[in-house]
Amino acid sequence: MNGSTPYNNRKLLPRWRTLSQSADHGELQFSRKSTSQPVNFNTSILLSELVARWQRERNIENAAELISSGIVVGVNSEVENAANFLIESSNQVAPAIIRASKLVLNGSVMSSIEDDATFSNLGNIISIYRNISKLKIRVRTAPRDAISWMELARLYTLLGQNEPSFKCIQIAVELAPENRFVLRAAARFFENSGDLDRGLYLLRKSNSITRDPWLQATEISLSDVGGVSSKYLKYAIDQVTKDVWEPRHSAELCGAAATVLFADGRYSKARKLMKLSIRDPNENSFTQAEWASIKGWAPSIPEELFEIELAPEALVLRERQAFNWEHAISACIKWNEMEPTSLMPLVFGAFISLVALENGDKALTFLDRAAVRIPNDPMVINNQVVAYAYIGDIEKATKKLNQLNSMQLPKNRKAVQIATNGLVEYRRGEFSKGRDLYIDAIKIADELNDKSIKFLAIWHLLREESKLGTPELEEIVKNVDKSHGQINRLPEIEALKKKIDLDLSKSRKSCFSNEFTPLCKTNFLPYT
Amino acid sequence: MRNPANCLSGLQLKDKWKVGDMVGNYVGNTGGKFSICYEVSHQDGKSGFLKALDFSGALGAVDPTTELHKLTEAFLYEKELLEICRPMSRIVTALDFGTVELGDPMKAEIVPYIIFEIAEKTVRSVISARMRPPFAWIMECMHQATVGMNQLHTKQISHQDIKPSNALIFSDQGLKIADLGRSVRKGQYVLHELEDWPGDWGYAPPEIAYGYLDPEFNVRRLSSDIYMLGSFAVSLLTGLQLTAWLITVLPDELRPPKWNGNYEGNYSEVISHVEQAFATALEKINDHIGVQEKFVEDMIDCVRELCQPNPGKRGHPRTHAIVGDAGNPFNLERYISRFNYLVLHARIYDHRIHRTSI
Repeated sequence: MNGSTPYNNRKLLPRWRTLSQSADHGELQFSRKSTSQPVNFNTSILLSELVARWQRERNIENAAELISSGIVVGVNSEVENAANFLIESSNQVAPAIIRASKLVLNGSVMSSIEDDATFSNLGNIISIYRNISKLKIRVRTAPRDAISWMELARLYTLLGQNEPSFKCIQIAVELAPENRFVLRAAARFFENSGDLDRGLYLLRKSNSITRDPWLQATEISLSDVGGVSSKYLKYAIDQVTKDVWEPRHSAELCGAAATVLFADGRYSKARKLMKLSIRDPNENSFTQAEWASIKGWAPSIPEELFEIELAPEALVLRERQAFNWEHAISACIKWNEMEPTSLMPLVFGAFISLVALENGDKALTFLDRAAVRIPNDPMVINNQVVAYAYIGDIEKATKKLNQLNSMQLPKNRKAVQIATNGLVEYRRGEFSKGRDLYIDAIKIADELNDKSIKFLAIWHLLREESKLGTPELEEIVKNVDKSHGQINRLPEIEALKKKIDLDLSKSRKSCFSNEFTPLCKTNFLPYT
Repeated sequence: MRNPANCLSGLQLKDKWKVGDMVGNYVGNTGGKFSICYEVSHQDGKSGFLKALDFSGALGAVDPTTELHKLTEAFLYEKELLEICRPMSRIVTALDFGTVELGDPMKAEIVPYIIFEIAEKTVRSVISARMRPPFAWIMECMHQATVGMNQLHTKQISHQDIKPSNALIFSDQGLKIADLGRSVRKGQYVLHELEDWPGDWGYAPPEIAYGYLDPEFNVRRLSSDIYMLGSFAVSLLTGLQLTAWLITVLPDELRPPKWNGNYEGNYSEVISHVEQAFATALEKINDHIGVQEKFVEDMIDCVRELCQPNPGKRGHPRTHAIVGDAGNPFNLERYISRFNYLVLHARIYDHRIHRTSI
């Protein structure tokens, strides 16, 4: 049985991605509202002497001097003329100057970090190691480069190597204790590794937090995850009310504060703040608003905003609500490309693949990635067993199952493990054994009062039985469906139910019956 | 009314100098012309370059008194600096000074002038050419430029405008640093010291572009000079100054208005990103040079030390460690030795390549 369910409560935590991705998402910009007129330097004045010299004497020397300065302070028509002149004389001009001339004319600059964040490349461990090697050389020659230390930490995290990652982060935060990018990434790392206190300590001791809404948003969400009061919630709401920041920069702050306030029961204020968060949202605050909207406490997001904002996680939420599973899977892949340090896109992708699509191959593409990050995680191994069972590779499923069975697990996880054993037995053809194991799992979950695992086990059992055409199943399905339990409302479970219904309708037609003990005789299913 | 500064061609100055053709005018950063240049030749056959002060722009300004004051002050300041620099072997010095009176002195037709040594070419013309100059030449230029800058720094003069077009090549004397018009001397008042950056903005160090001016003279001025020295090394190696390379790797949203961006935060908030861009730029420069030799690596290391984005950390780490806060941590003597040493290695390399290519 698939043992992991996607989150129920989403917290607006910062994304941890590369510098260029953060730049693309506008997370590095200056956040305060400009009090002065926009600074607009007159390029012509800054370049006047060089332009005059170039106009006086149009030669390579003066053109090169003009574009060298022009590329820095800004391009005007004379700089463009000089660039064209140099390109025309390319057989006499140094290659770097030709490149600079092309840059002047094309008007774009190179990306600072050349990262290939495609899904296929992210799974390429050799490529990650190669990048680590490059960065190690860089930090050796430029040890004060905090951003590269942070990038090194990110790559180690992708490999699940938390110890070297932690060391790199320590160096980065020592070098740049006030830098937004560094602090937010560090906070996310400490949240992932469960060291919330350290993350909060770093944020609260920085001087930048009082003037940076992005850091305040992180502090509020991290405090929320840790179950402690935020030191900045009240201050931040006050600043938002005074409209100190540009909407884009306060979007995450509004979303984070709204989430906390809603959990505290201050619904009206929460709704107002959530509305403010989508005035000019970034991808993360947009996703939070979409989640809140699906949960029913925030206004729904205008459709046109959805078209503008590229928010793969929000798309996953939306597509699964609409049962568009293939689209949801594609969005999970995009989400992983956008935020490879998070396990959530992999968890979501695997969950959708296994529960809604029953597609083991697809699930394995996500699970194998997760296994690199957390190789001995029982839930990942459990789900790999399920995926192998679904594709009919019982040998591999059994091998993984043995690994799982040798682990010391807490009781609720034990229930999942037993249910998975049951699934493998079903797929091996040992139906009676499989059913007994499922029933055992349901029994344990019931004793623990863990409804989520209990209903997951029930639905998976019913799915296996529906394939066999068990006669009394229709009634049981109806009763299980009526039972309370948030898990029943998950779109993936809805999809599973549809599959069960479809199988039941087929078995009615074929008048299939099996020879096993009727399910109604087991005490742990809501039959009566 | 005629502009006296435009009428010097053909004149004989101090019975020694014959003024030749006009070669152009210099335009100040404010956009107003303030000097007109001529070729001159000495009676003993030596050539020179005359810079005549042009009052016409100032007289036509909205506030002529202030403009005239600025102009004469800048001229006198440059003259004074040139006197101080006269014994310096790597600084382009003045051959003569004077004032020429044209016609009626009552009409104020007087033109102050300075005559400079004339160079064969500038470094800019050499590095813009298709073929990269030999490494030995590059290292020699760096050595001589560093000597020149050190000579200025020992007299507490910060040049503030080191760039390829201000490095002149003399056939018999090698490289000399020219144009002290934007220089600043510690303890001496000059109007352009009040400006954020007196030199060419295209070559300004990052902290200045982000609006950070350290209150301490050494950090504010000498440190920016040594940034420009490192940037000059990059120009010699690649044809483009370091700041241009930095721009190409720094995300748009983190660039200050002076670098054609819109980041308005403090330098302290953005310095980590500049450090990262600096490290990336050095890698790209290294790739661009494409020569895997120890002396090139050493040169890049020098650039790394000279151009540190943190102005207080620039210069040789050992000098920082020994001198501490007591002396001048931006002393360049170690680099003079280092570049001298690199010249030898570059010569060996050039010789090897030359022999191979034959």
